[in-house]
Amino acid sequence: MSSARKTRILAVILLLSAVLAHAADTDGIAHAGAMPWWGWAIVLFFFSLVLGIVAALGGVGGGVLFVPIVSALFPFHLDYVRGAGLMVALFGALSAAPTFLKKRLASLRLAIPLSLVGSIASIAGAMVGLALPVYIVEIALGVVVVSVVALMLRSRGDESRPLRSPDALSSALAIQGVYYDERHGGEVDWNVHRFAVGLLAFAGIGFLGGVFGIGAGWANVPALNLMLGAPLKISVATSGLVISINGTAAGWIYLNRQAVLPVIAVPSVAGIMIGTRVGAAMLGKARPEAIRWLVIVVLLLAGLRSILSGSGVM
Amino acid sequence: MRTNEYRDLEPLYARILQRIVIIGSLLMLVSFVVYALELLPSAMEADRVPTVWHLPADEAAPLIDRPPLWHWVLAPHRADLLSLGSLTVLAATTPLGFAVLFVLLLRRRDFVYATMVFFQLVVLLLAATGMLS
Repeated sequence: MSSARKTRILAVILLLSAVLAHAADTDGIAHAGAMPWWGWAIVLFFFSLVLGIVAALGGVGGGVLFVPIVSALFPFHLDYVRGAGLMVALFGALSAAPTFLKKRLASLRLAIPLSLVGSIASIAGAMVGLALPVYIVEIALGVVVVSVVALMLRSRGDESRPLRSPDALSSALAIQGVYYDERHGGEVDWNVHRFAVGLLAFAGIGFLGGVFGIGAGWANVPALNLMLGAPLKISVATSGLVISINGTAAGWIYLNRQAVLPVIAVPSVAGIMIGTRVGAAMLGKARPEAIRWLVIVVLLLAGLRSILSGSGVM
Repeated sequence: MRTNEYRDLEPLYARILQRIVIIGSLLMLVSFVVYALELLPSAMEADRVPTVWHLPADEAAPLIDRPPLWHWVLAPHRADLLSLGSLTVLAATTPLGFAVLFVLLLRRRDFVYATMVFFQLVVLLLAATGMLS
């Protein structure tokens, strides 16, 4: 099967799941129990599976796709969608982290200080997010998602960043390393600079991740790569490690506030985890550019829908 | 320039994450099947959840009759709490890994990073106990 055809099939499955979910929710029949809970769980599982494939092929985390799209198409309150979204982001990051650590692409020395400030901010964000009225969260979520789209359109990441002099703070913490670049067949030295600014940036990113229940790879990677000067591969892998720590902190807040329902969270986590693996396996054959545009269009629609819903237009 | 990476700690931390995630995932699936098939009693069976899933978490909480999070350990006969408990096992992965890291960093007298890991553990444990909620 050609890659273009695979991309079209993925798009059709995503749209069909969305239409099915939306149709079943019309007139509030979900609340009246027209479709049993397990029907919703099955739709959510397959929907999350497709999201996982698209997320892996599109180079974004599952969480950032999950929250805006599921909150738009399924009958669940935003609290539970954000709770499930955090579980999705957390378990996706926890599943990927061991591989990145074993390949020496994720750096504990880099991740520990960033995640310390990020997780404190993430807890504050989760508490604020659960206290805010839903319409404000919807509007703000829409603005963030549309900003992610703008970031995806502008930022491509820079793999070949020249090695700069490290700043005093990162030198004192000995944040530097070396990784094996499979593509070029050699070892690459790396370091970071502007680390104090990076700490502030990760506090802000952690806060947003906690408020909206989304993973923050879309912001972590550009911050590590473009702001701190870490190579793209180190940035992607270390971002996953940071999400696994920050997501844990915010996740506990959602669990303790009873904003995690197993009926929603478990099918979502299972679907995204399987979908991400399928997507990773398809990565070599699929057309990443087509998938990237699919992700951009879907995110843009979900973001606009969230703004319209929060502002009372929809 | 050469490396200051934790060449020994990183693979060890990776193994810890990997093992707990595998165990947690299996627990998550098994406990969800128990919950879904009603093999054990629940305060709110899965087929009644759609009556509350459109409500804010604060409003739904009294209807779900869910005790404080850690009480699932004391009530293993309730399928809904077992299923939730499996998610808490997965959410405990990072704190468990960091506890091991803390001990190893102290042993190698890396006090700067040991201090950061300690504070990270405190933050995660405060969040886990519900004191920050």
